[in-house]
Amino acid sequence: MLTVERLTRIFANRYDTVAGGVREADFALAQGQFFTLLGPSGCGKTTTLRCIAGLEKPDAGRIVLAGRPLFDGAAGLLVPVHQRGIGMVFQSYAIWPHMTVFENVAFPLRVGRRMAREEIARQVDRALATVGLGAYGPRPATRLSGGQQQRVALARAIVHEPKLLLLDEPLSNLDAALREEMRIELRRLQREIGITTVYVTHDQSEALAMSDLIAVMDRGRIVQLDAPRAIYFTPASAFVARFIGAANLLAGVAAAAVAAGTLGAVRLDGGAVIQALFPAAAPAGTRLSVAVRPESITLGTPDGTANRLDGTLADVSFLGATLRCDVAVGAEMLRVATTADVAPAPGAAVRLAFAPQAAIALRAEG
Amino acid sequence: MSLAAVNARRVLPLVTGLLLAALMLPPLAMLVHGSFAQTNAAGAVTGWTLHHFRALLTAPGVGTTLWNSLVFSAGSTVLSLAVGGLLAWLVERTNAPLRFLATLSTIISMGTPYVLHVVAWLFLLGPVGPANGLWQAAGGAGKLIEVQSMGGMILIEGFLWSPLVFLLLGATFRAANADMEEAARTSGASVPATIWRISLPLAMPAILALALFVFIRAIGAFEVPALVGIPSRIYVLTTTVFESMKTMPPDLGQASAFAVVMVAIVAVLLHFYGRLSANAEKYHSVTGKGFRPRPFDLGAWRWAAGALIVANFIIVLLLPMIALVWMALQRFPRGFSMAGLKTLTLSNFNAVIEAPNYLDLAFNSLLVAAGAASAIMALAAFAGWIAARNAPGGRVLDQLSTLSLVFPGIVLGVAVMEVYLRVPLPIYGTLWIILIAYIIRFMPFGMRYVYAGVLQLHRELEEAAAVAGAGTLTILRRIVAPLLRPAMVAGWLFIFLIANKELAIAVLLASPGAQVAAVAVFDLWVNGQGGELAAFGLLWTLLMTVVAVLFFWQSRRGGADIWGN
Ligand SMILES: Nc1ncnc2c1ncn2[C@@H]1O[C@H](COP(=O)(O)OP(=O)(O)OP(=O)(O)O)[C@@H](O)[C@H]1O
Ligand SMILES: [Mg+2]
Repeated sequence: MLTVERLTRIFANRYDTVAGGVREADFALAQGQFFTLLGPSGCGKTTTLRCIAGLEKPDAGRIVLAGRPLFDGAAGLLVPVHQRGIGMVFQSYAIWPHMTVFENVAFPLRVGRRMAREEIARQVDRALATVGLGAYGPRPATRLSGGQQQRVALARAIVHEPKLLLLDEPLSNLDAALREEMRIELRRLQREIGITTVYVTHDQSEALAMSDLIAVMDRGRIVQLDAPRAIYFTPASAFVARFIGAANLLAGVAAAAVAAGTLGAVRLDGGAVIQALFPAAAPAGTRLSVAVRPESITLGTPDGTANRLDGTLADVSFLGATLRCDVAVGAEMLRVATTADVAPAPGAAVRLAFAPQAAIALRAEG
Repeated sequence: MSLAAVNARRVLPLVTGLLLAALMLPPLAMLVHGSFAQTNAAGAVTGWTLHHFRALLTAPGVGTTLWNSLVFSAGSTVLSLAVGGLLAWLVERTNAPLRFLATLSTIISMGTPYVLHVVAWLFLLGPVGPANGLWQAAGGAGKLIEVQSMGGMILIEGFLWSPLVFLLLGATFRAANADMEEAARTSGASVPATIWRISLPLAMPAILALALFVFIRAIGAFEVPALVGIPSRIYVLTTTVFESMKTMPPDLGQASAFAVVMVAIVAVLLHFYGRLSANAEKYHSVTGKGFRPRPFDLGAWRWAAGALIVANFIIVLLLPMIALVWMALQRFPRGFSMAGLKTLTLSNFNAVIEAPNYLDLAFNSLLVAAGAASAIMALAAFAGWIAARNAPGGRVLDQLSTLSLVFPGIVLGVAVMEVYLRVPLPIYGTLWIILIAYIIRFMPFGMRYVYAGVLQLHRELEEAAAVAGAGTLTILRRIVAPLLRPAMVAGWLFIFLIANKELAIAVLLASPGAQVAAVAVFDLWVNGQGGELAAFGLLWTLLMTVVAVLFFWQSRRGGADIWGN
């Protein structure tokens, strides 16, 4: 449906040496997929989105939407933004304050091909009903709450039945409760209309909950392109593991050469040796970061095959369903999530155990 | 999609740029050309020469003129900053009573032609005026004040500019971040210590930038040097240019040479002004819109501050207005006196209302000012939008449209005259030439209004329209224009007001058949018709004050800061 090949847009920077933008982004989306660009602030998500929309002119690459090339650097082809037939929701919503809700939503129909008044009214009403704002048409656009503005922006983006919907952090201006609600609502809507969607966010839980496919970006590059589960359980790099959140990262080196997809020994910087899963081959001595999720670690229940680490319990916090324990192991602090209703008091010596498959050995970051 | 819309992004800057270049570049070129040209008796160019500059260097009194200009500008800058700055601070940042009086004086002085103010002051401080009259009545010998002096010029000019300083510094103080002051207070600083160590240093870049700005405007000031300086033979650069244009035949070469010198001075000062005000931006701690920082509590000093505000109101507004009313009601000029009450007459007002030429005059002025304001805002709408959006050509458009800031009014008058004496268009001696000069002169202001207005529009509002399928022209028409309207209206009114206020720009270009109000007031004064002058001036001020009120109301609404003049 949407194919993006080697998309590059680099911002030359006069002030420092850090050049922002996006480099060689590659991905292809199937009809109806919900695709998320995920990454920290400044990694190039918005730039990628704006290149697809046509608001930014890429330096190189190719963008094809439903068989129609929108941009082709090699062929010198660039379809201007207003001829791309795309729907977009902006981070600020960009609701035009001098128009009513109805006029805002009708705008894409009025500036496009000629359309009869009744037909416009019918389509606008349908779009407003879809987002749950059926009765709001005559209201001035300035008299709306944040959530309502967001819905108007969405109605405006889908009213002309575009092939592609672009969303730039549409939930980031909402409060936590509303964000949760809109997340579900948005996904339901997207499924209902069946529109292919590119979604930008820096919130990993949002990305994991909503997406069919996630691209994690770092400093302008896509560093992992995968389904949410794969991103969560088998991060491709220490950066992804850390960004997706909560994982403990233990520094160490490969004790011997290891083949891709097999278990191998890692000598941690603290001296202990553990077994871990290597997604990629690594020669002996490779600097590694071993990612271990807090919920994969158990406290003080030794098991024959498990990796073991001894440490001191530094802090315990009660989170309701789980207990969060911070355990000092040598110089490192590990987070452990346990359901145990009794935990030792801080200061106690504890033993941590986790399965080798739950420890992912990733090449350490440069 | 039509081809026109596709190319709009390229064609628009080009067309706007060509129009601006055609307006802005010829006067500068002609000025430089004129200052080097050797002409014969018929005015035809016969060769190139440095003669005008050499003559300028060796002319007797040229050093004095330059020195006078500097003293006059520096003195009036200091005075207007002290008065306007103190007032702005009291009004914006303290709980002093009667603060509205300061705003009221400012609004009305926006609508009063400068030359009228000067005339009122000349009367008040003059030989028969109440200042010297009271002094003599109190047994003083001679005159208390010799108004026809450098001191008098500085005094009048300083009070003329203090409302502007009040306006601009008011905006700075309003935007100040009260948190920083309160942080100092909670760290244990007293009110004076807070003002001295926090408020003042924070406002200093803005104050310095404004000082330079006022200094530049004072270098180009014409009204006070002409009305106060010329009779007492105290010449500054502007009046020297004016005099050399008034000789028969006009000495274009010498005027151009002087003008080039002034333009060079102003250009250098403007460069530093740009750096200073960029610096001021950095200190500008931006806060939310419509937010008024918590005022200082002056305690018992409140009433002293109130007295200052009242005193300023009396000096800047009340006294000049009373003087004008008095002048308008007397058939022959005379000082305030009991005896004078018996000779009060409405004959001057009758003369103004009945004489057809005053009506024509008023109509002309309104027409030219409205025409200039409309043309400027139309052109600036495109140029300002392109520049504010960093579109290709934006920088060039910005520079072109603000180029005329280097011209003092009188200099622009000379330059425009030279241009349109030469081009084969029959506009010399008509209102058209004044219109063109106004457009050139006030274009930078229109540009600033649009530019600031566009910056306040979130870029995504336009991008959303583009994504929805709208081409450039549609976006301009359906999104940008409606949202920009408050800023455009405020800009229009502002230009309309200052075009009617300034004398210097039109004084050389007006002719008997093509007059505007400020020039007419000047001529009446030169001809000694003080009564009619005052009557006409008051009626005119009344009209302009209505516009000024509209302007203030619109600026508050549009949130645009009042800028310049
Ligand atoms: N117009 C521009 N000129 C120069 N640099 C830019 C421009 N736009 C973006 N950049 C730089 O490109 C990089 C990527 O910007 P982008 O807006 O795509 O980030 P983002 O991933 O959307 O971040 P955020 O989550 O903060 O919105 C940033 O480092 C930014 O500084
Ligand atoms: Mg972004």
